[in-house]
Amino acid sequence: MDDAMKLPLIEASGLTRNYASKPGVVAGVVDLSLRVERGEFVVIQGASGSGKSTLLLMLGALLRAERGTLRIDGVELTRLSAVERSEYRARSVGFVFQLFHLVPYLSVHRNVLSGLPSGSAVELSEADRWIDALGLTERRDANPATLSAGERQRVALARALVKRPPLILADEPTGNLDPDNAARVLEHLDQYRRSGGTVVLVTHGSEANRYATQRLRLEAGRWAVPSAFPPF
Amino acid sequence: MNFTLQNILREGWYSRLNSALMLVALTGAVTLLTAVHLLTAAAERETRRVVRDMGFNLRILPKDTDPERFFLEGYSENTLPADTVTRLAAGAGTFITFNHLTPVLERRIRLGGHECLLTGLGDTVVGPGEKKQPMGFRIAPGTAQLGSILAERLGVKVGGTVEVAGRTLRVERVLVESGTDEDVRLYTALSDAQIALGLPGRISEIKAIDCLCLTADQDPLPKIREALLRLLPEARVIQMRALADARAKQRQASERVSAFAVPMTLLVAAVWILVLAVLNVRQRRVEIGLWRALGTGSSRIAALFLGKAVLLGGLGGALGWTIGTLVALRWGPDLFPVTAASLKMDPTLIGPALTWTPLFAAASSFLPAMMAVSQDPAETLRADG
Repeated sequence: MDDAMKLPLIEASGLTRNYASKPGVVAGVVDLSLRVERGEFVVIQGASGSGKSTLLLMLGALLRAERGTLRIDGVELTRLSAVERSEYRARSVGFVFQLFHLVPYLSVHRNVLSGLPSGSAVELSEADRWIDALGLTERRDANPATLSAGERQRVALARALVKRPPLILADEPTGNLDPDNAARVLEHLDQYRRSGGTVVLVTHGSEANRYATQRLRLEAGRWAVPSAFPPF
Repeated sequence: MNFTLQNILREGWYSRLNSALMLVALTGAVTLLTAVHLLTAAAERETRRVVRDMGFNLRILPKDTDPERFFLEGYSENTLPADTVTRLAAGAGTFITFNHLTPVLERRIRLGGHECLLTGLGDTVVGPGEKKQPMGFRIAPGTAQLGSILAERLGVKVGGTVEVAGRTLRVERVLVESGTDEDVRLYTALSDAQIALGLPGRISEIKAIDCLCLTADQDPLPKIREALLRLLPEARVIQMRALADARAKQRQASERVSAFAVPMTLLVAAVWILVLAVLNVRQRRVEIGLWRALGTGSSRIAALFLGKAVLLGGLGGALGWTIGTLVALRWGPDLFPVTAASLKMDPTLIGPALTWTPLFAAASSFLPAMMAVSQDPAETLRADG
């Protein structure tokens, strides 16, 4: 293992960002520190407006921190230009969203392919491998509008996993799924973690707790004291 | 096929209504512009022909012509050498100001006991390289054309003959009643008139048409006189103002239609496309945010929108040129019956249609594309926490 692989995947310190998600509602984070090792499954819980999504978008370089430092996979995100942040996202991060966000005019196969950055060294057959692995073989050429919620989320998961990024960021990935589909998605995320990947998942609920290697709770943009967690 | 191009095509098909409306705007604009271009050219030809049929609007006379006598008699009693026409035609810049130069010799004579106007017409000279039909009519030597009243007084019909100063001329044509002094005219070839009047090698005037096409509120006469003084100092010019104004107004009317229709069409099409492109960007906010999250660069996102506009622009340009040409060919002949045969497809328009329409569509979509590029993905992708 080289030295870089021995370092934590995520190191954040004094991370602050105010974010007005809706008029009058500030869903920011204040002076957060975070350390995530490679191969972890981090579950971040919190109520609406607690800053979970803000933190996740900052980890994905979609939002800039106003203060603090954020180093992921050896890269200081706060110093990156817009182009470098795009490259970072294309190379290092896979997103999974609550509302799936599939491209409506692309088939399942093409949606999965869209997860590959241009000029990616990953073979195109990798998309089919993930489609098969996530039980979507029969739906390969289907339009997203014809899929069930569970299928859509599995397509989104395949899109995130196809480039084999070191980090998956999941924003309420089971929020729109029934318990069976939610469990299936979480199983796949855990499988990815066990194969060496790292997952940071934010959620209202508790269904992901059993997979967590680290659980955190946000309250009003700050880490809650450990006693605020329900028991495992 | 390039991934961006594939996405443009797939999105275009997925957003069929938006794409169709954009295509309608572009096709409509090019249709209108093509039809306006073809019909304006047809209107100009028609105007030129109608105005030509109105008659000459310039009379170039010997300088010593007495204006009082000229207006009382209707012609100049003085003469110029017949080669004045060729000298004028050879002058530098003549055809910028004058065209359809026709030598004429006119005198009042008695014919069969009746007074009439003998008008000898020479060959009309047009600008070098021009394919214009000479104005007026050509009369072959030994023949004559008679005004309706004169023919009636003389009791002569087509195929009959008239005796003019001892020469017998065959009547080729009796003109329809015009309500002007043409009804008492005897038209002959210039050479026959020169012989009959004992004025060989002489003409009394050159009839012409002015080419300046100034607006009705501009006076072309000083420019015409200035040109004539330079080219033919021994002559003077009289402008038939009413005819000249009618000609200018006809031409300007069609120019005004073009001047209004073209920018209005472009403006309406540009606003239409802008609105549709903005709607397209708004509908695709989540998709744009997603492309951002996947690490797609700004140029590739802008290409999704501008590429769609360019593709639709190319299609709209081709369709618009085709439909505009068909419209002009179908209804143009009804609008311009005199020059209907000249109304033809103009293949030189296809190049500009295929070049400028995509550029125009891209320019109209530029602002929405920049909106898409600058959109904050965090706004659309975040869940509620």
